[in-house]
Amino acid sequence: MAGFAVLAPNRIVPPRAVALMDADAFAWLLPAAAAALGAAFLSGRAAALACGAALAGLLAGLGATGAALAGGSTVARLGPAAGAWVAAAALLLAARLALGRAGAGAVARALAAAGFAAALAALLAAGLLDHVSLVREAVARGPEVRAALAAHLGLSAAALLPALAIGAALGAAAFARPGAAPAIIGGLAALQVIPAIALFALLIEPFAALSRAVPLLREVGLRGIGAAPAVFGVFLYLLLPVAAATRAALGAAPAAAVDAARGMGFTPAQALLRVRLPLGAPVFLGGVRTASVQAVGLVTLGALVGAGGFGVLMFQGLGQFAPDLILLGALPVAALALVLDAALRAAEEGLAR
Amino acid sequence: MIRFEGVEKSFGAARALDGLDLVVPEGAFAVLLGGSGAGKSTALRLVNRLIEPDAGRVLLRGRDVAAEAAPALRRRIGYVIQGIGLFPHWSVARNIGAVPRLLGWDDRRIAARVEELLALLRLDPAEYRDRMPAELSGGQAQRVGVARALAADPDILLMDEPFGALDAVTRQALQAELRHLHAATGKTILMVSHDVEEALALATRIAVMAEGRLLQEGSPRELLDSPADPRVRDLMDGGALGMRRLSLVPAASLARPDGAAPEGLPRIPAGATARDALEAMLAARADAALLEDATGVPAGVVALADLLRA
Repeated sequence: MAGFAVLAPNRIVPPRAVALMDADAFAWLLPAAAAALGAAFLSGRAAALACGAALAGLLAGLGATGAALAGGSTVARLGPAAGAWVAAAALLLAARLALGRAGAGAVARALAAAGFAAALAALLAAGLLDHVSLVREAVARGPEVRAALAAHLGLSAAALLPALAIGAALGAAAFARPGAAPAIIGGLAALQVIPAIALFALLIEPFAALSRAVPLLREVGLRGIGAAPAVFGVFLYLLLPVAAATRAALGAAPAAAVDAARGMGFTPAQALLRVRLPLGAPVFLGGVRTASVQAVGLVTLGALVGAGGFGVLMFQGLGQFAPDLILLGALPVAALALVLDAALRAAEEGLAR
Repeated sequence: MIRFEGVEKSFGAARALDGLDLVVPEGAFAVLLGGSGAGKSTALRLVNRLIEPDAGRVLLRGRDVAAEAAPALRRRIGYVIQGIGLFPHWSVARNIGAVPRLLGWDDRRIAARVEELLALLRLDPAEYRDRMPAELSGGQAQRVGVARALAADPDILLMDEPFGALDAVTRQALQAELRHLHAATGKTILMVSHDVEEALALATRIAVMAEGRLLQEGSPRELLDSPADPRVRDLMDGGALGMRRLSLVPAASLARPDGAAPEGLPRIPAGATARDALEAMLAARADAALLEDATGVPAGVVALADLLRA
């Protein structure tokens, strides 16, 4: 829908477009526009900071527009429309480019993201965004969102942690026995070809059979429908990035350094711990990063086979044609993935130094 | 002393060593010389058990190397390779201190030893101690590589084409360092090379190998003057037999007292080789050269005709 924003009196009634002139939110929007313009004349970190300030101002302006137009209604909601979306996307892109041009490392980028998150939290705490549709939806579904977050993190970790252990073992085996490597890595790569939804569905029947055969497993909650097929399916997908990264990490040390270590009298364990592992750690961490981000994304599909997580909100939103609800499921997943990626990338850079 | 006794080694169908018998005397600077595939590197790596023989044995001071656990054995043997193999994540000091650390030396002793070795290899300790390997030139890195091999004061130094990847100027400088090092420490050095000039410049003993066998072992002069095999003769001659012979002889051993030396003779240091003397004469278009000691005092005259006695 064209315009700056859309306003709906409640969740059911179709919204109408709102133009910039319809509400007096210029106290926020004019400084935001000034900051955005200023960014064009600044460079590096200052430009990124100006973009962040402009984005915060834009959000506050949306909130103020909502507050002005909702009157006293506690259900009326203001959503961003094309104008606000494009402005927000452009500011995010500009901030990222400015950080890149300033040569900011992963740590600086993570700090910038954390700073922006803090500003957003301050806006929320001050109640400035209360009339924005996404916040309305989140407040109305607070317990559900918290449950989805806990479930999403729990499912991701349940798939990731065993995948790290077993994937690392498989990668180490592939490194130690080059003859077996094509079979190990090739087998894991073949799993990636199966679409996630198909894999989850395929796993339902075996888990159901297992649950029927072993009542004890059923009592601890292992069933054909639910978390089990989703966690196991995601676990299978994560094995490849972890195993491939482990194998590459063990081979990352220069051959001459490994030969020298042996020739100088390092025991195999000392050569592994003092030479191979430190030199391979950044490579391994790169695999952990890929796997973590994949886990958070893939777990979303687990909602289709009855696992919890943000996927539940997304698919509910799709079913009800409620864009706010879809976003309420999708945005946290994207944010989680970005946070994990930034944190592990910063750790990688720290190790590689 | 290193003794190879009937050592055989195959890699798959390829026979790398076909019954090698060789003795490297204590304190010798021995060079294993030969083309690629001669088995020189295999022989070297048998000494510190990076490779185990199929048959025969290797004795170190009369003791079979197989009698000792490989890591403990290797910590008593310095090892330098063409790829240098410094640990890229460790500083120069930590690289040099690697074996002492394995041996459990305390930190102060290691630090003192690192200083000593950096100075011995002519690297300023204050400047180089904390550098990372990526911040060194090829020649500096190999100096650190040699220092690291000497760190725990091994009796024996194994060197596998240590200067093969360096440019000619750096290589000659490091060869000179190594000659001094050998003279100063008296360590037994076993070095692999395919470069005859390098072998002649460094070795007290040369073992020429081909196809996994020893062709001839002897002093550089013996190999030049009386090659036992056509392949040894071809290798040692190389179209420069006369010059190579001159390079082995100190000019001072051919000189006469400078009683009536004419003016204007080219001057060469007293420690120069006969080859250096010839070069100086040819360059100056003179038929003699004047030897002078470090203070510039004449120490004798060597004439063109004297060189024929080399």
